[in-house]
Amino acid sequence: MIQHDVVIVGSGIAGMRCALEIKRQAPEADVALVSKLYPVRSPSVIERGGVAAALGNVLQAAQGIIAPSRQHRSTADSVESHMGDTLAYGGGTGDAAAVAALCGEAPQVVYELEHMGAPFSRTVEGRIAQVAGAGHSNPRLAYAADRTGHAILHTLYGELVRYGIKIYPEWFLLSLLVEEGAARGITALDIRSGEVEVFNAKITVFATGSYGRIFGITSDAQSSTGDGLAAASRAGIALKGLDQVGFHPLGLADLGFVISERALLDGGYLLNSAEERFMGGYSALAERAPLADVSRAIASEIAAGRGVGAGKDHVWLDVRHLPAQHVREHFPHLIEFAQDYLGLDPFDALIPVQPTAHATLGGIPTDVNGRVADVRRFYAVGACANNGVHGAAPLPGNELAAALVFGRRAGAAIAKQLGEKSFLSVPAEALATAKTTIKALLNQKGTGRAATVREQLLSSMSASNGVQRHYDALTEQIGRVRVLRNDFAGTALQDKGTLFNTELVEALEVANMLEISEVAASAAVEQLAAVAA
Amino acid sequence: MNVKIRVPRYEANGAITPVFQTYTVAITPTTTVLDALNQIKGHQDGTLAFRRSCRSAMCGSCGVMVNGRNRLACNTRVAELNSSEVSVNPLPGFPVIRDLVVDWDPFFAKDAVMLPYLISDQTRPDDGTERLQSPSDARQIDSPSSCIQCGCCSSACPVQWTNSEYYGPAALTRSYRFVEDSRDTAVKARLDIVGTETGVWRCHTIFNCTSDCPKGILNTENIQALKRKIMLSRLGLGRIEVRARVPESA
Repeated sequence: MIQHDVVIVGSGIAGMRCALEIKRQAPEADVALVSKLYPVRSPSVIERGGVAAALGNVLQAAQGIIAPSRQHRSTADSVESHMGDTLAYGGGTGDAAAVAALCGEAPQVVYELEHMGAPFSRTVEGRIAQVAGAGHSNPRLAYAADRTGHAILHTLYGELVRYGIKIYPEWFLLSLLVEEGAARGITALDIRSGEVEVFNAKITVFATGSYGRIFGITSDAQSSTGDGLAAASRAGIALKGLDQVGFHPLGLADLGFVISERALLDGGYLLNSAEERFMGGYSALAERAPLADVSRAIASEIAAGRGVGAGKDHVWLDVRHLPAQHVREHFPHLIEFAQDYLGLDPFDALIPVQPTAHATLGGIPTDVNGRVADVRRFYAVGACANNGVHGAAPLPGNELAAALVFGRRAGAAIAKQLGEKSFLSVPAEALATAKTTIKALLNQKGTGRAATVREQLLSSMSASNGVQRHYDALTEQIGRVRVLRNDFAGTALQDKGTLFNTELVEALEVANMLEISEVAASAAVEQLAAVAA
Repeated sequence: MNVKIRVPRYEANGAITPVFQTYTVAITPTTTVLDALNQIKGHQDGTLAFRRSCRSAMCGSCGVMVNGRNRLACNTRVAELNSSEVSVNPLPGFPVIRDLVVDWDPFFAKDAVMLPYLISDQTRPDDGTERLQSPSDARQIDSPSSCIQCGCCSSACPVQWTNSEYYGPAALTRSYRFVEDSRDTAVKARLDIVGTETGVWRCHTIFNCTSDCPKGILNTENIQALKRKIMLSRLGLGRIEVRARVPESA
């Protein structure tokens, strides 16, 4: 058994920010991070756009390309403006207290990152550069080139090294240990050795990220499989709002990677099969409409048979008319994606895009300090938590801000109470149960392959739980997931070994995705029924 | 179109000599090496071990040697390789755990030696806001701070192959990123760390690290820049203290 005062599962931005805050406020605390990846590999790294914070460093410019000469300090932006935008973008359903905490503390967490040395882009005055984003009434996205998530993740990783925080890389979460209403730690599989261990902790934190991988077309990493949500669900915690998924209109066709919406804000066009702009017919803002509206418009065009590509399920993104220098400077990833993945030159060719699952909003229900109501000594932060801050859709840049703000708040809350807490015993059978799970999976008999189950799950979830949802398709999907769970029980591993058994890890991920998918599809049906009623 | 993928299998029992195995995979013009590996793992041979995560060339998990060059499996299209048989190997010079999976612990241990965090005694603004940094100073660290720690550079370095104590280009670029940061004031300490016999002086300017970097980082040049700074500072000529080039606030 391994013991630490605090065990944080997940080493993305939220988990690391939480760990850091605990160490800052309670230097003697023994904090450990357990992650199925090395920290710098965490999926936070793919967030390209900025982090939303009302710094007010850049004055609102006319729509279109912002001339550098117009970037100067202003006092136009405010926390109140950020709050208003957040609530409006989320359809008015965001939690007021959470929104106030997010918007109020976002500037501070961004300044702190700068103090830690994050390589933010700068204005001519030397302040953190900010740019406009969809739904923001002021240029509010603080960015580091077009790799803001990467910059933040690597900066926080440096802080972990500075504070000497213990990291367990490549350990796979198996279960959350709860007894008498209190969390006591976790069980996890050391992927490298195949050993199963119990981690006993005074306080357990989940920062396990999103579940975007249940969709075939997603911007999420292959490892965003909702492991923490599945473990929480198995421990008896009711997950909240798993049907809520933010779709980004600019997913690279078939691959799902997101091209920054700045390509649209800065004047890019969306074209249908007739190579005509169609957004004007859906919104007065045309291509600059909120992302959810653009996604719906694309889905409508595709449904009306005006899609492009072999499956007629894409539309074109056209940036050929934008100044090449601007594209190179502000969205190099667009060029990189087009060239590396599609073999296209974006200055010469149209880029096929389609809506992609980008932000999974459902999760473990928490308060504004990350505390989980049903279970004492248990916290959840980042994409795996749901405190209602985003409402029905996350304002661009708010997810990064939320990972930082609520990671920090949870860390502060934990640091405060750590002194008075002692270790609680772990359930006696915890280790044996976890070992049995692994042994059973290794010895599972059958002719099927987990990869086949995964492929069927992903394509059916994208088809039924996408931008446009229909009652019949959703109820059918619940049945299909149950069939797939059954199919999964008839799959067998070819790899029976213990040393770095990635087939075992993938099977555990498929099991988690099946569990999450059923909850998500059921929640979507309930949501539709509620709207209809 | 079918392509053969040839992979060395290091058995789980720790044998040091691999057995090569060849798989046939159907590819389209956009199939990546990672897609091909996923196809093999999912439908032909579940025992093939490799790492993957983000698929979009940001997380650095899937660095491998493809046809003799270190690359990311996820952003290398098989078709662009123009070969009917593609050889995929683990990153050379790194200890192999199994198949394409290498041991990252020594790599990240060297990174930690570089003190990969800002050390600064610059005073911060009283109001808690950001320190000022000019756009040109920010651009100075733009390239080195875009490193994704995929290991393609260090693994391509022949010096690293023969001397596993050498910090290697990834760690040295990390050091360079902070040495060049106008906010960092521990330049002397950083140069002392890299100016040792396991540091910059081991670099023989072979340029493999530059040619194999998936992010186009000029690792070799970064190492030479560190050498120049060390020499200048020993001659008492270097400007190794923090530079104040931030313009006055408007």
